[in-house]
Amino acid sequence: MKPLIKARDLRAYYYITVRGRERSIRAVDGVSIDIYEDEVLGVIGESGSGKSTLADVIMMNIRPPLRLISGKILFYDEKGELELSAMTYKYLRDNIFGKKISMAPQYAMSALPPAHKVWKIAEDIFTSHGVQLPKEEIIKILQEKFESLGLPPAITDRYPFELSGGMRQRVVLAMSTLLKPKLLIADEIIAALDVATAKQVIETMKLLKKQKHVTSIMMISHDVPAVVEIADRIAIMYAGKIIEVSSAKEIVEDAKHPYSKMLLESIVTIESKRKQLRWVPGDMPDLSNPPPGCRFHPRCPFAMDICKKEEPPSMETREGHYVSCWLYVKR
Amino acid sequence: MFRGVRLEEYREMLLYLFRENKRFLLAFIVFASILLLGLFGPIFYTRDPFAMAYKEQLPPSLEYPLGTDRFGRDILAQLLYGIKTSLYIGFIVAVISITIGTILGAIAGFFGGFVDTIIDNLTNMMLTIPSGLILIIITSYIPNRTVELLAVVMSIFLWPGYARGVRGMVSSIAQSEYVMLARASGQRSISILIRDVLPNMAPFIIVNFASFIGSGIWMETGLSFLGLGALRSISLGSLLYWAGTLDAIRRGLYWMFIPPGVIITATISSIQVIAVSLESVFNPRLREVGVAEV
Amino acid sequence: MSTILEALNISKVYESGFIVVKETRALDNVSVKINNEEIVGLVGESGSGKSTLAKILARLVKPTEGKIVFMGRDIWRDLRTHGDMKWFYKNLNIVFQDPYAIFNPYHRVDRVLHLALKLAGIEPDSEEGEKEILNAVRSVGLNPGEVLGRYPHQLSGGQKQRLIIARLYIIKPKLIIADEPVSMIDPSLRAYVLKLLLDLVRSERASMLFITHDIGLAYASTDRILVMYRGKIVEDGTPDEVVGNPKHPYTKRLIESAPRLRG
Repeated sequence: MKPLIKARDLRAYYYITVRGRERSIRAVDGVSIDIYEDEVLGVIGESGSGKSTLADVIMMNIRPPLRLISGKILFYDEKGELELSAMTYKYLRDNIFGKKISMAPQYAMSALPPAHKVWKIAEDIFTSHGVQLPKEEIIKILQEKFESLGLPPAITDRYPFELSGGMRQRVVLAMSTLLKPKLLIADEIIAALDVATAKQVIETMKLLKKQKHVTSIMMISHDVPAVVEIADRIAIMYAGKIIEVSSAKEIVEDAKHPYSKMLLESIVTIESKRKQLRWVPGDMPDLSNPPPGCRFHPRCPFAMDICKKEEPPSMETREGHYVSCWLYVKR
Repeated sequence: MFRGVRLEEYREMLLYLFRENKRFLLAFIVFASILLLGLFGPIFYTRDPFAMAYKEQLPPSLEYPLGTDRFGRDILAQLLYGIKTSLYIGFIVAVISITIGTILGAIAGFFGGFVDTIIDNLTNMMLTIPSGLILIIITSYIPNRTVELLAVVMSIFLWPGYARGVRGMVSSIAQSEYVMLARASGQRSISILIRDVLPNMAPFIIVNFASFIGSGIWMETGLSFLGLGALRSISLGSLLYWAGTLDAIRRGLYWMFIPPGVIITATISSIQVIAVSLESVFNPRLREVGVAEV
Repeated sequence: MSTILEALNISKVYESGFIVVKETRALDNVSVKINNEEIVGLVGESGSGKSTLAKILARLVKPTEGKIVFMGRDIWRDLRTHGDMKWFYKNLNIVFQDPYAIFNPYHRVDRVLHLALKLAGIEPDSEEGEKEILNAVRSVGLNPGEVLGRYPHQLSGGQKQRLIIARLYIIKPKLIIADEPVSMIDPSLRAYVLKLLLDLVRSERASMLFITHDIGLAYASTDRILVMYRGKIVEDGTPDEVVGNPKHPYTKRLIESAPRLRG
């Protein structure tokens, strides 16, 4: 599998002032992850795990109060290797954002300018990336794309507010991939949608990838079943760290990390056993003051002495399956 | 609702305002200065503003720092006295308008139905009346125009528009879930109105209150300038009136219209800025504003 | 088994427009029966009318047609005085979906608990009142020191929703109408918060109407499921019946598109 993105040891903190004192929130605290070509990587975790921050960091969309403290992000395409983390904001804005890496945010309404018709929004996207096309051409491209995604071509002439929530979200997906980026980052895009609409959006994403509008997708969500539906690999984040990564199938059937197991067991579907509700006890740690050692140890039923003192390294338990847990470190 | 503990927090918040919000500080200083001038000025500058003398239309001098008007009355003395009068009028106008408007608007918005229809029709009726015109006509028919009477008449035209706004806000607040929760806790409607609805309206009420003080001052000035004010008393508007009768602008008798004009403008604008800044005190959510600094 | 709440032929029609009046039927001839010690699930998507039904059953919105009998009393005809209202809400109470909207931003969160005490007939400033509050807050897994005395904006959604449930721990109603109580809570906390509600219902031998769009949650926690579609009830059965053998086409679609982990 060819790598598209290699992120090494990323640390990105928010610096805020509360009542006169500066605090750092360590949202991404030592994350290394690869994203391969032609795959969908799902990133799941609770609120406060840092997954949305990771999405911003991978895209190098790092603005105050967020700061990239250390770490490297390498991007690979036909031209070779590019160290994204060393580029200036101007370079990123002119060459990467929207072109090579694109992000589809959660709230479609705020992503689409309300006063423009859909085709005009597309035109703006093209122009801001230096692509000049006549209106008829844009409309043709858009309509073809919409049709291939199962959207009615007529919506090119509509305003965003005229579309339903689900359609808007799918339009956002189409817009984010107009320039055929290598990587699309979808950050909680189905969170505000009901089940049926969310399904449509997931199907649209599958189509985007199948029809090569985009090479790879990084999907951030707390909705595990939806991620399992589309992802090839899944990474689980906890308190600023990735604690387990493997193929979607393995995560669902054979997760290793205690947190992963408890998280998956807490998901209730119509396949769950009735009258048996499970959850992860305790609270997410305060990211401005995380516990020493393994961050999960205060809530972990298997916590050992070493868990309280040292952070576990990442071990490859099976091919492609990585866990950060002292239970799996051979001594 | 406004128990002891919260008062302390208001104090803390006010201090924050004074420290951080430069605009508020400036407006506060301006308004406080004007207020102090009005309250304490006459103690130090003791000349009687009503006293007429044969020293008419004198430009500023050592004896008369702001000169005299057409009756030989000391302009500075009138200014100091007029501040009190104008603020008094503005205050009464605000109190009356806000009280009527809040009560009627809240009842209409909260209870809806028949009561709402009645109040709504009343409000609409009043809004269609050309207020400026009728105000002029009414006041010209009052033989004995006192300051208080004028304030009452001016209030009649201010409350309907405000009541509309209150009705709208109350109506939407009444649909909110915390009002439903209050109902589901067995609270009486009046209790809900006072404890749940009103606090959420406080900024709206306060801002309008301040605005009405300004409106009252402004309307009084206008009426006085037309000769329809309470001309037997002295206000900032009456100064302008008498200046107008002398065609002061064209004749360059600047000391007669510039000082009152400046004070009027300063008073009204500083009140508005204060009101808007105070809004942040009443909204707990705006308190931790200083958090996301970089 | 006796019935605690019976809603008969409930319809709610909204009208809009002046000259051309448009009618929206939020609820169309809906009848619901809830028995003692029963947990009933009402499953429907947004726009199905389920929230409207919740508010109508909780006497917060008046139906255009229909009758609701709670513990033998017609809630619109037989309940008139303030005392009647207090009786009603002591025995029937609610949990709503949005923890961010349910607290008045101008008051501390304690007020919600104080009002609950008053409804339960306990003086908030008394020793007994304080004890009740501490117990209730701890029962929902919160640390009193961390949440009492705070303003709503200082607490997380999960904490706020748990406080709303703590309120019910004080009131101890015989019927809880829970309208999407966990939809706005982090998925990993949902089971926990739901369990808090279910524990209360079981220990007080009460009933609950659990309204949700998540058929999985309904399946796992209820004794009976009603499916709602466009203002009408289209299916009624035990969870296994509804999921295993759906009769109405909408229910079939719902089951088919329900999220699964291993399917």
